[in-house]
Amino acid sequence: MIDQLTTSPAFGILITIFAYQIGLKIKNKTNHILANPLLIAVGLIIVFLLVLKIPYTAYKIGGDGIHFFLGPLTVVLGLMLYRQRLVIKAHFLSLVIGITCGVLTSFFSIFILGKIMGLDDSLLISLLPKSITTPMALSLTEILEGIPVITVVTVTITGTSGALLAPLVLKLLPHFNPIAVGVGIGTSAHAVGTSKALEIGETEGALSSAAIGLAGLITVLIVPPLYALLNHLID
Amino acid sequence: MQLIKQFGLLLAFWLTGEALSFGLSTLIKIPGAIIGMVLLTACLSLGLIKEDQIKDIGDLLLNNIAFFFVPASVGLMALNGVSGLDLFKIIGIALITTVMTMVVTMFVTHLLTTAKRGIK
Repeated sequence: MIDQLTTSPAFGILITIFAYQIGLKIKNKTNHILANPLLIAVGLIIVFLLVLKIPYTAYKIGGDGIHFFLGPLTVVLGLMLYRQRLVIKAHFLSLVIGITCGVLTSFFSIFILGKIMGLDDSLLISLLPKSITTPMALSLTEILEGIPVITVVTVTITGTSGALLAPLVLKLLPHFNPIAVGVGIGTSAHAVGTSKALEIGETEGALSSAAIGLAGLITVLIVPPLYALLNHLID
Repeated sequence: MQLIKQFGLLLAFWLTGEALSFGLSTLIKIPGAIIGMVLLTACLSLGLIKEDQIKDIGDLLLNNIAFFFVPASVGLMALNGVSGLDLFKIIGIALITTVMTMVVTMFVTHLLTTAKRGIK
């Protein structure tokens, strides 16, 4: 009977909704960046499945139903980009050049550090999309043939650490203007970082939001050909 | 009903994106959903569709965005062949490169936006 219940799509969807609601409650109570509803929900679900010895494949039946929405979610990021059009227009060239430099820094620093540390190629590839928003990062890792779960986890680590470290960076390097601060946070730490940028200031928040979509787009355009080229050169 | 219609519009953008992605695949590999996103931005900017036509479904998805990442992240429990040392390296690389990316982006954007202001 238990097997029949857990392999129903309703099971995976229901425990995801339940765990996420708990995550939201904890976040609203503590309001700390580490009280991330995603992290809490994932932790709760994994513990729940392991304790009751329910296989991941059973959870995945319902999970896939939720996962499907990443497609429409990626498309709807276009609405987010459209809503930022005035900010983007006002600083278009600075944004594109600044973000492109950030995307290249992210690419080369991951590539070089990964090679130095002897990280397996499949893992290195999975890290490359880590500074962009999850739905776009997952499409990119699919094209690069990376491991989706490594990408999702590193995107979350990146966003959280970016949000935590941004105030520290600004303490050490206090002379950046608000536009630069916003673009820097959005490009390196996507939406989680943006929540911190919004706390720092209005301009910072608006530019950080604008940078999320642009950084994603520039990354998706630049990274696959650049990776193919570098691999070709190294071989 | 409004939501269903708006959802249909999003799926139409996605599918068009997939078709273009397939058509372009010999030249460049771009995910279909991302082409769909660019098309949506373009159609909104050109006034071909109005924000109202996708606003409800858009806000529903965007306001709950992290919820949709949960199943992919739970996949962590089924991950094989990645050692503790690998995870340690991955976290290390993630932290270092995030700060580097942040600082370089801020530095370049600061130079560009400050210079522009000076000229004006």
